[in-house]
Amino acid sequence: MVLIHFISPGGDRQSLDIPDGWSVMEGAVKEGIDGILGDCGGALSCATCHVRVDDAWRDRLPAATAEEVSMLEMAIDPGPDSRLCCQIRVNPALSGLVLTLPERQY
Amino acid sequence: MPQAQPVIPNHVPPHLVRDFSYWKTPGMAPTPNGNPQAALSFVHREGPPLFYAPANTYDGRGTWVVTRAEDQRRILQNPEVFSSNRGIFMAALGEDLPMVPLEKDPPDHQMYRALLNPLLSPKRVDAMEAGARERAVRLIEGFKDKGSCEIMNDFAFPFAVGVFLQFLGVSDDRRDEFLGWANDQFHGTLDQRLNAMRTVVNFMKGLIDLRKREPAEDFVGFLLKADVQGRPLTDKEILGIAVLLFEAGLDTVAAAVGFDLYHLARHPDDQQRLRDDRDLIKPAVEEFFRAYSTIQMLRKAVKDYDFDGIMIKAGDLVSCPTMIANRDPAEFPDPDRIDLARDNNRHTAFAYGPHRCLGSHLARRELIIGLEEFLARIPTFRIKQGTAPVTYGGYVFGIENLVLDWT
Ligand code: HEM
Ligand code: FES
Repeated sequence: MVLIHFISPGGDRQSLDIPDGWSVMEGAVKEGIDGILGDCGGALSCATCHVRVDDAWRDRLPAATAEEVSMLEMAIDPGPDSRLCCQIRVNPALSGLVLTLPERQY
Repeated sequence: MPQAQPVIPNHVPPHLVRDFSYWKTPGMAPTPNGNPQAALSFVHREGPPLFYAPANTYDGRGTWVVTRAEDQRRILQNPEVFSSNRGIFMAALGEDLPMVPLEKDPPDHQMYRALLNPLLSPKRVDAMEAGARERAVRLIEGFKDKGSCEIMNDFAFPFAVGVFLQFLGVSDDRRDEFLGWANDQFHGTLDQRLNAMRTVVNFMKGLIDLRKREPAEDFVGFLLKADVQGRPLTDKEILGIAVLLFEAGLDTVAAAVGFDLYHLARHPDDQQRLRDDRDLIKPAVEEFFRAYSTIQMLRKAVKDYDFDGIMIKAGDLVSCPTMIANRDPAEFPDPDRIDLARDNNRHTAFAYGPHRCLGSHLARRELIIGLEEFLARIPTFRIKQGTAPVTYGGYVFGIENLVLDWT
């Protein structure tokens, strides 16, 4: 289990233990984190799993693939700190990862 | 098209066969004042969660029907077993024209999506918003003073077709011609449908030839210049994309406009709530997408699959109806209740898995604009006395003869 923190647009924090090897999206959807939809189940076809990565963590995540970068265009107002969290695989090195949820996913 | 005799394959256990068809089950055939989505929610009460319907395509083939949202997700997420390549045009027209990307499976699927995503991104939809709104306003202002209109012909279709032409970069002069094809294609007899399909294919072919001679920065121009993994798209791929967009982006939007206004005409309290609180339109549109979903995802098994002990064999068709998943009580409390402010509305009206709708941002915006402008300009409306809207099931559920009155 790896502890991941989600900050809502209003500033509330929810913290989840997500099993090693799952994607962050799977963990968030399973626990019903409001604001992560994951409409395509991680197939990179929906961009409804958009998150913003805390500055301290940006360089510690594996870089986004070209497919993810292309799909980020389908998210609402993506920025340089945006990621699609179905592409973030949980592992112990990510313990304490801080992600901010966007205002909306569509 | 000859109707195949329903044959129940040997591997289908007889106790799982149901007399069920998206065309003929009560509420699926054209029904005055019907509610085809509600007409199917009995499957959750009666079970079983997976059953076999012996004649459940327009040409009379059998399909499995998956009712639970969770089971649909596992089918749709497994394209190695459940292929989306089902030969739509081969079956209909004998033409080998795969719909791209709908009939492409991963991994190739992703490269087409990566190419097409930017065309329907939120930014692109923002840029289309003003034009779409202007079209909605022009149509509504055109019939407002008559005190009545038939929504599908006077508003829903011309609106959806107008936005689509705007997307294609084709001039509005051709709207009526397009409308005619759309009408034949989605509502005609089988012959009319097949003819209209041919006409659309020929129109798109013409558009491609034109853009080869006279390049322009429009949709087809973009496809002609595109590069997928170091090569240009073939003409067949371009045609498959263009024809799919016509098939995917018109009838669906028009049907949603129709079902939403049908609901509001029959539920004056909901209509008033939206008039009092415009911010409720967005969540209401989502609730309508959930409760009045119109599409089924059809897949073809390419390998045998053990579904909790039931054998789905390679070659079987598997139908995952959105309107059934979206009324699954395991996912949506009180699913047959329409709650405009429903919380945590994780519906699958736009599908699930790799083929999750490419046009969802545009579709959502069209519905929001359509309802906003209609409610802002038309006073309290109802179904015109003495008329009865007719709903129907099928491949895309729909409604016709929706005559509203606000005199
Ligand atoms: C209310 C409107 C709409 C609904 C309910 C809807 C729903 C869907 C569904 C359920 C699918 C999946 C089909 C399957 O997997 O078998 C789909 C796919 C698709 N839709 Fe939509 N759609 C709508 C509007 C649009 C619009 C406006 C466009 C484009 C302008 C569009 C373009 C597409 C495309 C290209 C696909 C195939 C995606 C792929 O295979 O990756 N749709 N849509
Ligand atoms: S879940 Fe669809 S892109 Fe991440």
